Amino acid sequence: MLRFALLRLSSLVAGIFAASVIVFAVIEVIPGDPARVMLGLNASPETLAALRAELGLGGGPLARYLDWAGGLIRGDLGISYTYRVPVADLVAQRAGVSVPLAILALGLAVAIGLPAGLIAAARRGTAGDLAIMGATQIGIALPNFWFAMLLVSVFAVGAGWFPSGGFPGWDQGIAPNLRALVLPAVALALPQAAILARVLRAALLETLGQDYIRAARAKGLSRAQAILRHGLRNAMIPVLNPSGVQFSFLIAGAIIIENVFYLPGLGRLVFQAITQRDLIVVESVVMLLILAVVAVNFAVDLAYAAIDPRLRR
Amino acid sequence: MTLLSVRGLTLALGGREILAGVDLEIEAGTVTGLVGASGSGKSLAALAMMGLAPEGAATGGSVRLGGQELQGAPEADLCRIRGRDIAMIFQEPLAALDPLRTIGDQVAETLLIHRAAPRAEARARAARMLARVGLGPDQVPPGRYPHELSGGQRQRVAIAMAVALRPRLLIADEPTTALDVVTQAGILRLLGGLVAAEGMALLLISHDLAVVAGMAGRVAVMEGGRIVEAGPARDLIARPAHPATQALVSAAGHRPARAAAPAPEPDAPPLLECRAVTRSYPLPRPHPFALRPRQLALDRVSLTLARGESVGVVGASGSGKSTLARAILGLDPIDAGEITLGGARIDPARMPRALRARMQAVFQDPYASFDPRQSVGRLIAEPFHLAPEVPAAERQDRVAEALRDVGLSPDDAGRRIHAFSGGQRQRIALARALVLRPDLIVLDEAVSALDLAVRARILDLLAGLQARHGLSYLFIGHDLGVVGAITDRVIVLEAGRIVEAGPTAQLLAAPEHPHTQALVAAIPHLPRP
Repeated sequence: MLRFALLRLSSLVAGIFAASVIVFAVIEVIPGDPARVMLGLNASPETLAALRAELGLGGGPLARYLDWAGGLIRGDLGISYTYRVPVADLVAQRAGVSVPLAILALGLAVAIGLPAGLIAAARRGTAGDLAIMGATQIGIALPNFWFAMLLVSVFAVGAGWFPSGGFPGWDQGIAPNLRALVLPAVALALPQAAILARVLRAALLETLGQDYIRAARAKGLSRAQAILRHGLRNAMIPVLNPSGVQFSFLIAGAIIIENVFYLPGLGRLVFQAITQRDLIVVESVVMLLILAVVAVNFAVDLAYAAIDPRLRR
Repeated sequence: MTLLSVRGLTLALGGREILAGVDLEIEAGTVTGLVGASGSGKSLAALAMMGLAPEGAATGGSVRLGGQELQGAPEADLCRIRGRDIAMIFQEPLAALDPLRTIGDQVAETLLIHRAAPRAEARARAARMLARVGLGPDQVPPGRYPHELSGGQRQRVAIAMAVALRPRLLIADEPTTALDVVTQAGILRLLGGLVAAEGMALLLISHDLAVVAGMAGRVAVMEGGRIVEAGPARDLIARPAHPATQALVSAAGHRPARAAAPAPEPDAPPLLECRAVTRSYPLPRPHPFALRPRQLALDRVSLTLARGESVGVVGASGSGKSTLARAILGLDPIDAGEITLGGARIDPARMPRALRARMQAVFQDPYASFDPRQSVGRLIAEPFHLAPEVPAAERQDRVAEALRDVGLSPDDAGRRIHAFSGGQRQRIALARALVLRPDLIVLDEAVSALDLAVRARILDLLAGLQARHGLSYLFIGHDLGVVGAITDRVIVLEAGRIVEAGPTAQLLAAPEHPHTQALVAAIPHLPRP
């Protein structure tokens, strides 16, 4: 198990290194001077020179990369050009919205998708199965921002149960903030739940046809016991892999959803930074999101090994 | 006393009648055999008796266990009965265990699910049960996972799981069909010992009458979804009345009529010669800085095969049989030694097509060895890429001829492989091997996956083809009974080494090496009438 974890950890480090090179190179290969790109055509020579110094554009690419990467490791992400505050503070503050949103959405996706997939597989071919599969079809086909607008018009504008957008800030207490996150989290979670339900149903049906399920039934387990004790755990193996990939979609979806709901999260930050050509912020947030995705996939790999003894070597 | 009484058991799947009224009585504490060709409905009958018929199956009739009607009983009652009163073991030991749970847990689950013991005690009893089926804590502790066990060991776990609560009836559905013969003999001994010691009744299901005949007092023969004949095993084998029973009796221990190999000319060079062939596989390193240990798969194996001769290679799983076959076919390199075919050296790195064309192979699994999207004609014509000199016009005729050779029709060339049964597929595999008119055909467990009656017909076909085309066979298998039926000489492999070799009849009659003796003893025989 330790050997497996170390092996995965080394590939994780290599992955992060490769990603950092790519992110850095993208900024490098933008034609022309990054400072000029950021400032636009009308910049005065003085501001241009000042920004160039700030960006550390002197020196060769290798020296600049090492400087930037070293800063990343130390937690020094530079100063945002538009906000004039350290990017690290900015990111930390915005993560206070995005991280709870992601956790809430992931939790909701599992809470909806897992039972839906389980019921659909257990009642294969019944009206319940058909209804669940029909719903998931819709969930996959419709974009999440459309869901978001639908949720807003029904539950915010219509019923008035939740705010239609904005985020009060954690200093206002937990309840109003959670209320503000409910609709965005639902909008993010529904497509994920639909995918999870479908993948789980397919994996479970495959598992339920296995001999060991029949053998478990011959031991005296009821159908439900056989599914829960032997089917679900075995079905988790094919389900886990797409879950790791889906996390990246969740993050990409959050960028859109945060904009629909005016949530001051990382997605909104990166969106604004791109429109304002604040490359320092873009670089840092993209790197952070990559870290998050890689870390989640590492966790998925470890979960694989924890579930499947055949992988522990 | 009658323990299980089955009357008029019917089962239909998707409107198709599969069981057409099965009647069966099982006395308490006795062994009953249920035999029949594949597709006769044996397995579904067993599942229907346990109330585990597949979803969507419509069942009818009556199944009474000790006076209690099981057909139509509430599911909750059936769950209490399964595992406690009736238990079952299945054919595929590889698939019958949950890969994610330890074997100890899976045996303990039988006790826990029936609330027969608290958790700690259930674990202790599971460990004792595993020791009892031959998996002692020193060799195979209960903390092992199924993938760490061999096929025979897994079947022992399945047996421990089934008998943990000493059920009154144990149903064993082809429990040894997927195992090699020596392992089979061990499992049958274990089952026989357990049912005798615990006073359980055993319903032993098999397509092989010889497997059942050694243990069962009574035998029922199934065909077309009903029991066509039943009675004491000895009487049934001595005087089979129904054609299905007669077919099973004649298929058991069937030996094809074949002429002895032509006496080789004294100074004629052998067709195939292996000299001190050695091959080892690298094993995983025990720690990252260790040298890679190697597993010796073939240890200085030497053999010769004359033109027109059949030589058998026999050994248990893991003895190196398939490694030898792959080396001879030039598919894998060897570490040391030399293999020649008609004097030409076989070297997988530099092997002219013409040399490859001189030997062809037929493998075990008739389902996995064909591309399902191609027509049978194209599948059979595949080896022609080794013989580009054969003009396209002639190829079609050769395919038709090969199909006729193996007892199929030239019209079958246009059909797809899924339209054929397992036995027919093996005929198609043979046609594919014949189409280039090779000197040597390597048959690697080529009849092991086939039902006994089908196997008998394929063996007859092989004998006929050999006589007609002067073929040489290298026949590889785990069952000395089967290999012995079709070969002139046999070589016995154990752990990569030849332990005994000689003329087939002599080896079967007077085996000298203990391993050969074990292989001979493991051949299931019908009791002599």
